[in-house]
Amino acid sequence: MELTQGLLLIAALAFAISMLVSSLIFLLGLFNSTSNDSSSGVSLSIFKRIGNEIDQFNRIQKTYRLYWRNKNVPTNELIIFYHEQ
Amino acid sequence: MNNDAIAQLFQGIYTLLMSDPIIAFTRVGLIILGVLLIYLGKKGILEPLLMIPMGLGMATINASIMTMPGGEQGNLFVDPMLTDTDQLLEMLQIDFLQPIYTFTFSNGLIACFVFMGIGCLLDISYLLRSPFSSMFLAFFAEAGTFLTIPIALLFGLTLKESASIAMVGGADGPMVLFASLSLAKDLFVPITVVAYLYLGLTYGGYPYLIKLMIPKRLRGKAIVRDPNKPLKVIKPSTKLYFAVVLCILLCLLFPVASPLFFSLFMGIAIRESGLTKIREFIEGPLLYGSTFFLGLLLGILCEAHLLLNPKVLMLLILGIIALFLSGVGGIVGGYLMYFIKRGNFNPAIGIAGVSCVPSTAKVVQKEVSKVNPSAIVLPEALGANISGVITTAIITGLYITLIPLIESLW
Repeated sequence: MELTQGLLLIAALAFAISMLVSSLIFLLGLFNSTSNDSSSGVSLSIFKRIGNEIDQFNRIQKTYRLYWRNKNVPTNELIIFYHEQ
Repeated sequence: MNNDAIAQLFQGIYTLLMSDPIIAFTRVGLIILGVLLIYLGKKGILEPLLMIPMGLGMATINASIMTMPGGEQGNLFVDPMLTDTDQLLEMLQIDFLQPIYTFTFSNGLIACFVFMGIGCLLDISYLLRSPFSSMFLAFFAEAGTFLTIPIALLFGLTLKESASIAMVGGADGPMVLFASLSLAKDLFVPITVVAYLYLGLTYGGYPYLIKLMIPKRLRGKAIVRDPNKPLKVIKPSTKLYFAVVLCILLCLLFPVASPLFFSLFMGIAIRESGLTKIREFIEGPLLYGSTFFLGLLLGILCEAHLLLNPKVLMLLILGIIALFLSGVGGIVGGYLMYFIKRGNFNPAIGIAGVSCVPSTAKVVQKEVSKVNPSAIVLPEALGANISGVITTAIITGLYITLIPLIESLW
């Protein structure tokens, strides 16, 4: 093996491993969740944001169900109501 | 009582007068250099933590050469060239620093302790926020680590010796110590001394390189941050997982450098897992104790007989070339990032990729602040700085693994 080839191989490997490490760090960053404090200017991870959206949707659904159930509306009407929305 | 017997009463002077003139002058020169290092350390021009024990050690060892029972010249501090087990056991009972040298220095333990301490001090949030740009800059700031090898070969060094001295370009003392121990054991003393001497110089030399390569207009460039994208807060658990995953991955790739990887990531893991008492121990007594003994041993190893190796002058020149090339490479990387980010980047940050934590990052912020006091680039500079440590560790692993292989095929 030529010395130049060897050194180029080492440099290429170093760069590839550095980028692999960067990708790993980036992936780990996606799982990073922080406190839900918008006033502090803290941004949330993508997973935390999706989780928050799902929680909010479930809360709205629960509120609607409770509202119609209290008015004794049958479940099928509740479904129609959702569809109309 | 004859004159010779009287002279032998003061053996330091006797050995100085009786030795070869080159050795005598080198001894005097090293005593003066030791005193100068203490002065520069005290003044804060060089790192006092390292330079004061190193300077006093250097001056003392060259003053206290004596005639040993066998008739040859020696000292009562340490003998780093011992290989015979019986002699080593004997010396462990005579030379007072021999146990520290044998059990912590020559096996790289002290380098691992320093690395553990550095890990405890590292906040990797900066790296986790912008991993690609940080690692990109750090890779360019390794230019000296790669380009010094062919230059060293032209100077007549072997490939393993060239790779060891080229590691000075990574500006990471423990890495240089570890690589030279593995690749060029005969030269590891002068290479490590050169490396630590020059690491102190980055603080003084790199500001001039920044001024030389970056015009004032770009040096004062502030990074404009999107107000809709505030800085992400990284949870300690994320940083802990990062340390665990990366430690295992790098050890799988390069088992030869696993002690260093393990030490660095162990430090990070302890910091992020909230083990306060252990963290305080590692970043306090262990780190300061190791740095003290490292400096002391490096000074003691600067004995005239040991340093009078014809290769030492070459190592001095190559060390400074390596650091210079890494600095230039870092700034070139900074310029590339400036173009990639369409002008929203300060090219001076590139030099922070040279992994002298946190000196180079501080140098960058200081130089930027001189031109534009409102420009804050420290988070980006620290990200590149920490990436520099990881990239140097990767290159150390690659050199220890591949350089012997390339040499056998060459």
